[in-house]
Amino acid sequence: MQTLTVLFDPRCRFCWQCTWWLGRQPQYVELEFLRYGGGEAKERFPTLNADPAVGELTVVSDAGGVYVGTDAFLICLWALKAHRELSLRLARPRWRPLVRGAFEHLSRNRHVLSRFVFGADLPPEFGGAPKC
Amino acid sequence: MDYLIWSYTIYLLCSVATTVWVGHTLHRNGRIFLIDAFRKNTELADSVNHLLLVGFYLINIGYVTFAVKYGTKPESASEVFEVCSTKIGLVLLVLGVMHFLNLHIFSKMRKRGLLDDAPPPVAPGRSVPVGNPR
Repeated sequence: MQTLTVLFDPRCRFCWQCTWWLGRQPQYVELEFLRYGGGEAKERFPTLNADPAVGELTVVSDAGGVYVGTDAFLICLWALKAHRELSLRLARPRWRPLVRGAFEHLSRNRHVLSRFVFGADLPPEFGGAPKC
Repeated sequence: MDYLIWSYTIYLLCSVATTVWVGHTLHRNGRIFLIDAFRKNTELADSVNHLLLVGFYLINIGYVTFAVKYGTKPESASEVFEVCSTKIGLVLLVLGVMHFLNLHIFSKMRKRGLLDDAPPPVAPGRSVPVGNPR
């Protein structure tokens, strides 16, 4: 695996911050970021159910494997040099339910969190993938 | 020779011999850890192993020679043993600390090597055809 494409919700400011952070971490596997439901995402992955209203974190590997939600979060951690060990630990059956619960809660409330932390969410027409 | 010279001689001989023995043991038994850590790159593992050994000798023999003049001066045969045992004991403690430090470094290197090759913790839920990146 050489590259992982991360599709994130472009209306969520918190998600932009996360991609900014992810893009700056030393990586085992190169991460690239695309806006969920955006033109390039549709062009690259035409059969992926790109519904911007849902916009759950989705990661597509260079072989076409699709990871959604908690799995996508774990595979992103796995791609980072400093956090691969953590991702392997969190993926164990003992931690998995807790991680799933926490991630799903965070994902459901990402817009609330964005408004709370940054004051406002981003408009849907906010364009451009982060420069990473 | 007076008692002082005897104590120096015994101290230096025992300390250097122990340092060499510990270094040699680490060098021999640490090799397999390093080969595993460097993903079967034997040449690199041997090179790092040798460099670690040089560092180990420098620090330990440096400490041994540095500590020669410290401690009380023996004035009888029994004091020679006391002074030697104290000084050699300190050298052994330093060697023990260095040994565990070495083990820690080896296990860190091995862990890092294993992490580099670790497969993804989760399998993809489904597959999609992939277009060409821009």
